[in-house]
Amino acid sequence: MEFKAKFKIPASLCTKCRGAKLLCGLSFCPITVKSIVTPKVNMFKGNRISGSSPPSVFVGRYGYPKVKVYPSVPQVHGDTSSYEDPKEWMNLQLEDFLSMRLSMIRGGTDVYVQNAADPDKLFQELQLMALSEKYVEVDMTLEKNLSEMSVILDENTPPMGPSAPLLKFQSDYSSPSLSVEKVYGDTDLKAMDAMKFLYSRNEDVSKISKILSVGAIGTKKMRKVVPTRWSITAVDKNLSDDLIEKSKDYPQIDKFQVYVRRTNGNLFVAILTPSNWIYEWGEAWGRGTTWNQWGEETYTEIDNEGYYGRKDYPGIGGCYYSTRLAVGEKLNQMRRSGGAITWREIYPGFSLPVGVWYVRENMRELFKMKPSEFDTLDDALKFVSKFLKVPLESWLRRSTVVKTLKYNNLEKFFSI
Amino acid sequence: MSTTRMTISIKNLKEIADLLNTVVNEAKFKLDANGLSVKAVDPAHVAMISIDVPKEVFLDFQVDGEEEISMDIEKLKSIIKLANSNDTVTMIREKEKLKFEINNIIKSVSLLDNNTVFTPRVPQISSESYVVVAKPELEKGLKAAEDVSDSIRFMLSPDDFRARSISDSEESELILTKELLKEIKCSNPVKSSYPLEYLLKLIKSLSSSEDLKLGFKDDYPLTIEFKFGIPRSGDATIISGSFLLAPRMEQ
Repeated sequence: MEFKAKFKIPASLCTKCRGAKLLCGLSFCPITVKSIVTPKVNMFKGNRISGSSPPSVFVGRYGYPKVKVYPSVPQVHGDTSSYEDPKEWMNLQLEDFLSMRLSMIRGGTDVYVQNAADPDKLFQELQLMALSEKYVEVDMTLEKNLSEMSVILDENTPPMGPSAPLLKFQSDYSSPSLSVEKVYGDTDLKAMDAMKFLYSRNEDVSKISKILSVGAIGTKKMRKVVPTRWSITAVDKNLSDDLIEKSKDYPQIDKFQVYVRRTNGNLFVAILTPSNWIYEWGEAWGRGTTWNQWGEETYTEIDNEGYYGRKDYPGIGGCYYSTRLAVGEKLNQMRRSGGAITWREIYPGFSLPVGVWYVRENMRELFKMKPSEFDTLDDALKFVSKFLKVPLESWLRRSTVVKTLKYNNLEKFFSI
Repeated sequence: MSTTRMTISIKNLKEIADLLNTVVNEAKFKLDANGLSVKAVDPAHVAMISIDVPKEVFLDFQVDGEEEISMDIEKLKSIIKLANSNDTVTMIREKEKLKFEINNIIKSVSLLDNNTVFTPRVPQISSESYVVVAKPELEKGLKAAEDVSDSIRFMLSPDDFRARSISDSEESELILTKELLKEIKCSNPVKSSYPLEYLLKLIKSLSSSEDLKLGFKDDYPLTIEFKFGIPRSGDATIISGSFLLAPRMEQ
């Protein structure tokens, strides 16, 4: 996604707004973002860049199966691991986070996804760089000037800095961790099992999705490069599938547990339910927020699943699975089973797509809190309503889990 | 292959869309020599609706063999809004699209993949106890209960039909004695509670129905059978539908 407005914004609006009110109705102030990106692009003289990559590799999805792979590096030497660590991002102001992410310059090279199993020299070097446990010294030569327009602001992937085609690449990649080395070397291990193994060895999900995206896991013939956007959701989905299946064997929680977390511009709510597995993720976008620029009122959307999960991809997108992962982690950590109602309210002012990590990490933080407990769903909802800005009724109209728990369903009487 | 082409009054199409929208956002319509039929269940599997539109209700109905068409109901409703209430609409299938012709407007919309839209099996239920009530009477009873509770208890005895809601502080009851009912069949008293929100949504969408047949037994799903639609002049064939609603859990 480009950060430039697709239409002209009259200066009269910008001078009244100055980035503060987003009068243009855009999800972010293009001038502010430009002011962050431009100096970084201008600071970059010539066509050579050297720095320490956290490591970071981005894989685009356009042109699939011929995709662009971008090693990314800031012009900074030393430990840059925080550039690629969502847990660290949680402690930053949004502008600082953006500034950090957008300072990573990307050099792009074409790769056919099926070449992952038998990579050429350059791509193998990129794979090994992505697998490195520690930051990697990188020297890149780019074919032409960076394009400011090429920064990536996307709802699924973390922001990425400007790019240009890659001419030369050199890195002194370090060794991977033992568990990463094992799955990379094991060409009989299925990708799904590799993900589970890495997760069990406490590799962070963002690291696992990076390894999946450069095609470094799976059985030999099946190894493929996976666009970053898809790899993030694939990891969230597959790991949460596994966690939720495991949780089903534990005894049920005995009360409704309510968790509420407020962040800058967002409210996160979870109600864990003493029931079989049932799940919903809902988002309510206030007027003027990222995905509701022109709407007259708050837009609420909910996707859900029953005991056996769902067959199709939820329309609401990747956050559905990021949250599901956080729920699965919580249930397993408690060694309990249950269902979950998870809602997020997004308020005007929060208007930049930053990636699903934001939801995943906030839900993880949310579940670290001590819950308020209730005997009935009605009491739990009454408590939650005190924190909501969107009327509870409008959430309830869309909530499938509430209806399922409150009412009998027809399957109790017939097979349908 | 010949073209699939149907013409129907906007009023009828609107009522069908509104009724489906009480339970789902997407629906799969089945077309065959008899006409159009559709079945849908809400995501929580609390309520189910099925509607049969005989081909005689259409002003024009050309369908070869059997066919399925899946549509987004919100989209359908937004097209209906383009028409005046006395208009008719012609729908023509064009591969994966459905073309609507309303007066001087032509609008084509993409159909949904039939495999992604779930069609439930509708159970056959013969009701031993049922009652036929005038829609406005039941509507009043539901509205009286609306701000009292989120559920309503239906009670049927050989002498009357009652619909009661109770909260800690308020109470509402609709009492229809035998003589006020169009029809009643009941040998032993039965009672069961149902979620009000589903009933209210249904009744608001049933604009042209006059009588409703309610069948139920103790703590068992409720069946509401209804007929609706504007018949073509000189033809009494109208649309029939049924609604199935799971009982409220006893607290």
